[in-house]
Formats: sequence, structure tokens, C-alpha cells
Amino acid sequence: MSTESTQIVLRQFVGGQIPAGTVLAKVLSELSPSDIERLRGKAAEGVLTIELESMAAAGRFHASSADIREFIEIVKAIEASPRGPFDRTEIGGKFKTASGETTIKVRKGCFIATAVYGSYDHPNVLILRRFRDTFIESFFLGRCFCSTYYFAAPRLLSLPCMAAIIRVPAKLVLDSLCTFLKPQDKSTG
Amino acid sequence: MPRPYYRHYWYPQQSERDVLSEDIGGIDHEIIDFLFSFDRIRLASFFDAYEEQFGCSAANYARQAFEAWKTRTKKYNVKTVQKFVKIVPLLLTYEQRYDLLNKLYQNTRRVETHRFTLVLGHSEHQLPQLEELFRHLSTKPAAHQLSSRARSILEWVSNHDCEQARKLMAAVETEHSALLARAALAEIDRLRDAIRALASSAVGTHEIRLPYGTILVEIRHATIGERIGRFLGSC
Repeated sequence: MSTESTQIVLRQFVGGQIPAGTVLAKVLSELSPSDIERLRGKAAEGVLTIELESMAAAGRFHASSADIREFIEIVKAIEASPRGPFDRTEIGGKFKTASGETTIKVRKGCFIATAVYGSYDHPNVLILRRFRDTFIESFFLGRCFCSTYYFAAPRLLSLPCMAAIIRVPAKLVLDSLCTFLKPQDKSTG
Repeated sequence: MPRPYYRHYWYPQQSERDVLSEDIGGIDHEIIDFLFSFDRIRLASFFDAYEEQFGCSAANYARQAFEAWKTRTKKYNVKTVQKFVKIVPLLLTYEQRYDLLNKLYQNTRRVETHRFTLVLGHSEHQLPQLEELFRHLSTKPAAHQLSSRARSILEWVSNHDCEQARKLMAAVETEHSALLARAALAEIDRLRDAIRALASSAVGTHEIRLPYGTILVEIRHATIGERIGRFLGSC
């Protein structure tokens, strides 16, 4: 049966067209008239299934995109919110998508700077954070430093009395660094 | 007398009926339900076919025992079930046989599981391999064959109309797999962007469920060891 007649038969039953070049169109074009007569109901069902699945997939894709965007905003808002110096946050999201399921997990440890200044929103912590994002993470060794820092800092601070021991020397180092960074931070906005 | 080593209580022996049911994807239960719901005319055709294939005495016994089988007061053995699954589908409507065949192929397919890890900035070149895997899983419906035992029990699956029906089913499954694969690629891209936008501790996993396989893709930032390794490698 020619592709054209297959399309005519299916248009009668489905009301739509099978895109040319698809496997389904190829298989249908190879069927004999008696086979297509027997199979047209099931073929129409198959075409409908694919069309509906395609529409549902598009809907799920857009819905999950919006959910993931919202999740990223929530994570960023949590990052920016005032937290205690030893807060450890684990944020996770599960999203039903068109092809399955997406899971995102973000772990946030505590930082020496937050422990030293007592708040995640201390102006000096903000300067250091901006310094990390704009400068340290822009080159290879800086990123290595960050990875080591995120690995070691929470473990170091979880040791008993460690926060109190390192507070004074760390504050001295960080204060001088912030004094140096403050004018540059203002100039960059 | 020593106890046979294989008869442990945690390895329960499968009955012959269970083995048969597993071989034919569990459609025997539906076939028997169809048989017990036959009207008088179809039942007469069933007994005629039974007589033709298995002889007069077997058919007479089946005629006598049928009501008892139907009311479950008498059990039928595995050989009788084999006879049912051989004959009953031939007496069903084409639509019923198609649905039965669809169930048979769905229940006997082997689902592959694959795991992929994409490290941002490091192993993103693995994406073509993932696309290749999608292509492989999309072609599996057409390549899916029933076991020789299933084919020998269910001779009707080799009929021309069943072969054509299977081609159509495989085409629908291939289209479905291709649709999911296209969506999965876009979703992996989206997840990669999301992980990039989040902190270095963010890890994303995406589970893709295709008719013939499940793929688990993990996307994460590079660890310090990987960064140093790459740096040393580039020197």
C-alpha cells in the first residue's frame, strides 16, 4: 500500500498524519491492503498514543523546567538568607520529567569566615563571597583551593573547640584581606 | 541418606506451571479467562479444534471436564494448559489476539540498565556515547525475539497476521523510544545548565525510562583529584 493511501486510511481514523520518514510510516507503507484493513484500528491507536505521548512530554518538559528554575532560585535564596555559623544545609529536589525523573541535591557546609564573623550576612562575609565568585573561581588553582576548602572547613569546624581556637588568627587574616578587598569591591559594585 | 544440596528452603522449586507461565509472559491466565468466557458457538469451535489437534479421546475428556475446570472443582494440569494456549488464541477476535500478543512481547522483554557519569568540563565528550545508547535501545523493539520455547508453545505467533501485528507494535515502541530519547537529551542539557548554575557541591541525576532500558545519568562538578589529574595531564 502506498504511503499516500496509508495516510488517507489513517486520516479517516485518526484525523492526523503520520510524519513521513518515521519508522511507523515505513512499516505502514509496507503492509498489504488486507493487513492494513485488519490493523488500521491498532495503527490508529498507535499513532494516537505517540501523538498524545508527544503532547504530554512537551507539557511535562515545560512544567519541570519551571520547577527546576524555581528550585535554583530557592537554593540561591537559602544561600543568601541569614544562617547560623555552623548551619549545614542539604537541599534536594525531585522532578517528574518527560523522559523520567530528575533529582538535584545541593549540600552547603559551614565556612570558616561565617564562623569567625558569626553571621552568613556579615558585610565581610559578603565581600569574601563575592571575591570567591568573581576571582577565586575564575582560575584553575583557585577552584582547587575552593574544593579543598569546602571539603576541609566543615570537618575542621566540627572538631571540639576548633571554632574558638581558630577564631582569633583567622579573624586577623580575614580582616586584613577584607580591608584590602573593600575598595575594589565598592568599585565593582 | 544425605539431603540433596539444591533443596534449600530459600530456593523454592518452581512448579512446571510457573515455568510455563514465565516462558509465555504470563498470558496463560488471560487465555484461560478468555476460554471460560466463551459462548456456546465459540466453545463448540474450541472443542472441534481440540479434537482435530489432540484426538477424539482427549476432546471427549475435555468436554466432560470443562464445567468442572470452569468452576475450579477440578484442576487442569500443565499439559492441558499448553493445549489451551495453543488453541484458544486462534478463536479470539483479531483485536483480542493483538492485545494478547502485545502483552506477551511486553512481559518477555529484557530491560537493560546503564549508568553514565558526566563530569562538567571533563567528560562531556561522553554525550555521543549516550546518543549511541539511545539509538541502540530504540532499535531493540524490532530486534526483540521470543524464546524458542515460547514459539514452540505458541505456534500462532508465527502466523502472518501476528508477524505483521508485531511489526506495527515494534514500530510504535521505536517511535516512543525515539520520542523519549529526544526529550532525555534536552533534559540532560537542562540539568547540566542547572548544575553549572548551582554550587560546586550540587549533584544532579536523571533517570530515563525507555521501553527497553533504564539509563541513569549523573552530572556533577569535577572533584579536586580530577582537576589536578586533568591539569597534570595537560602539562
